[in-house]
Amino acid sequence: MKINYLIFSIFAFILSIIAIIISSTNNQISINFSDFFSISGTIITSIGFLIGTYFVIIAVSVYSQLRDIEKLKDSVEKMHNNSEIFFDNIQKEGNYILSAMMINMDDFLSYQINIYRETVAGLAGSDEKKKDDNRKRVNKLIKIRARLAFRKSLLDRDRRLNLLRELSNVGDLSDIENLKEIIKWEGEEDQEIKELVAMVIRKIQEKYRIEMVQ
Amino acid sequence: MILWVDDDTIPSLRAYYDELIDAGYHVEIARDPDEMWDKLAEYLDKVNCIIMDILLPTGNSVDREEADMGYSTGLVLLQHLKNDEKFKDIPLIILTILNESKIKAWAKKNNIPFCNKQETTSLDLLKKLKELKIPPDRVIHEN
Repeated sequence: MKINYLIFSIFAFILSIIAIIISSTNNQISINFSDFFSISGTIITSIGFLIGTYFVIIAVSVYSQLRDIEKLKDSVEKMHNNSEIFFDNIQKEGNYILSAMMINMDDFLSYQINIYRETVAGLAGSDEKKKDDNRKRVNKLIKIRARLAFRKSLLDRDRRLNLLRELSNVGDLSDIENLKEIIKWEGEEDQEIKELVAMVIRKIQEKYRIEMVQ
Repeated sequence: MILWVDDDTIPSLRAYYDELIDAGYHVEIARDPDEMWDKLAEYLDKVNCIIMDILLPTGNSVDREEADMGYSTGLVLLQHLKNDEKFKDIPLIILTILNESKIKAWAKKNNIPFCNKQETTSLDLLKKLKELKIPPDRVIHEN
């Protein structure tokens, strides 16, 4: 369409030039001043029309480009929203997988504890040193299992509460900082976990106070 | 029937549970005090032993301050059972990872066998049940 405007305005200009040339070369037509002014006016008008058309074409072109930019912006926004949903889903899937891994780890450690307690302890026979080593091994496994409760929300709530209670008995001073992190992590609504963690910290500190006194 | 009050996961309890089932005992597991009271109400005539963990959630029926946020829920429950006419004659066993001397002393004072999960094997638990003369619910014929 802009080409049409351009062609039309050029055509109008050329016509007016031709009209001047014809009138100036035709001896039968005499040009007086008023004719001269009206012909000049025609030329100026057609030049003005040409220039005006040129700016209209620019304006139309700019408007069309602005429309394209807006469409592009809409499609980028849509892509951004879709990618946010996409990454949210990936994160949920990732958390689900990690949560399943944590549950498997909890169960695996439980099985190991059972094996050491049921089988290896029996193999120790009456050897007190071996029995004691096995007891320490079982305690260590219980401690590792209880520490799975540190990771935020990757285990279901009941499991975490159970492991935190166990940690109150098997935990040591190095666990206190991680326990304090749980209090900072959990949202306002999970008061029970915060209170339980405070108890766990207290029990560990009491235990070590007693051990230091002894 | 044995009523076992413990909130540990099944894999954690598996060794004991399987041994008891193989020995012919019917075992009902309660995961918190509320469930324990419900099962006692349902199976009172059939319960001939209660195995109790100490570290338990408090649920709605145990005061959290009294149970020290779940650290000694089992002790509170055992005290209630011993003080209740309906349940005071049911034999009790403590099975816990706690190894504190004051808990052991309390258990000894109240004549309740104390078993530590780090050391007590499933066969040890069966021996304890036999010592308390708790018969299995069904007889297993060994070939």
